[in-house]
Amino acid sequence: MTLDENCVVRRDPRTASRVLGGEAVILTPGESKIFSLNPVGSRIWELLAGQPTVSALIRTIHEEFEVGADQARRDVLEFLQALKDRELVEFVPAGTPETTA
Amino acid sequence: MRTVSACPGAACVLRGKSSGGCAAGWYIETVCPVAPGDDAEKRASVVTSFTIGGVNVAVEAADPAVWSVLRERYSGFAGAGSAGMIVEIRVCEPEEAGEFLDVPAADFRAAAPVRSRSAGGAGPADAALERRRLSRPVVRELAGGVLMRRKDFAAFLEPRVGRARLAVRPRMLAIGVDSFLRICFSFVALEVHGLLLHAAGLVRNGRAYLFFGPSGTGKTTIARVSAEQARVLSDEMILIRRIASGYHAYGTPFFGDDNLRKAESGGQPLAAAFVPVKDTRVSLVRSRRGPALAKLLSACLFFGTTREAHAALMARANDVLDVVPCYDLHFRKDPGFWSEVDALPSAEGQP
Repeated sequence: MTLDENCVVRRDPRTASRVLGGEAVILTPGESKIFSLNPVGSRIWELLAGQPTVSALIRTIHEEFEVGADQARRDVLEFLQALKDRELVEFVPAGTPETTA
Repeated sequence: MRTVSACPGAACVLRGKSSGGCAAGWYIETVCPVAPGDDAEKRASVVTSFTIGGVNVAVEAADPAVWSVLRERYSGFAGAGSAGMIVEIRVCEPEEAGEFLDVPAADFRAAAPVRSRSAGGAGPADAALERRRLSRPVVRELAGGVLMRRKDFAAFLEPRVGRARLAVRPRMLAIGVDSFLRICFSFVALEVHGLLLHAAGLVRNGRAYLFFGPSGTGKTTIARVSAEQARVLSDEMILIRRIASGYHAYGTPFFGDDNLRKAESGGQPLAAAFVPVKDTRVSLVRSRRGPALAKLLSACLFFGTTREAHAALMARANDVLDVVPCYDLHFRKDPGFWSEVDALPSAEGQP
């Protein structure tokens, strides 16, 4: 599905990851690809453990990294799409049973 | 390598203790010696045993061509191990091996290796890509085991039981057995609390040092310039295992034609790991943990496909870096870096 700010974002359950010294390393089944994220990307990856909505994620990044709301929104959306393209995350409509369980 | 003749149908008995399938609970109960005076033609097979990473491998094969391949490649890998697996090898066309492997026919068909595309208009680069594509095995994790198929072999490994069957094409024996064992040990390594790594392993003053990183970073160079300073476990593939509070490094018989054709099988306590960086001066810098983990994972030979297998790999690699100090090693093309390595403090639990 396309990216909607009301969506819940969660890590693809097939991934295995660690965040070490503020740097995330993600391993994906299938072709066994390894991804390293920069500090901002790693923070977003950490936040995804709580299955936030896209809008909540944008708000947190805006507050924690002291960037403008528009830039935070643009960067987070772009980053989430990049994660989605690499099958590292899933977007789930808020309120569906699997996100409220 | 130890070779004994075996009684038909009673070559080896491998029993798993009730340890939840843990490889540490495997042992070979019996290697049945041939009775004195037995006629050679009555012997159904020969059991050859060798040890990789402290894991006993007993190979049962009736074809003398297999024995000579094993003797040539694995004879330097004798030794006693604490865990064991038995491999039955049959020389036949792999596509006819479904029954021998004892896997469901549908699973066997689904894992058929990719076929060659027509060569129409393909240039040398395309041909090289195609060769790489064809040499890649198809690996499927099924209930209870791992099915692997390539044009030259088909095999089924039960890593938790410690048993495998390999069907390998005649005239492709050496490469088929080698590839099969590499894939096997990528799974078995995790079972024995370890990793199989593209890395060089060197031993100096009773301590093993691991050098890992992308191809071309200098692993083989380091092994070559250290001929007088250290003993080479292998300059291509090293198996490391958690033993008590530390890790041990083992050489493996998995080496290519371009590498030093020399490896030793014994385990040595692993004192430190290095990511080599070719430079004009020597320096050692403690590696940042995230990048070191990514590089270590990249160095792992791994064919798992499931989420569980990847989680186990991630956990094991992370544990290695918890226990073994890891450094970025900037080095020149000479053995001068060893004085820096010798000056490193010993980590807790390490030699």
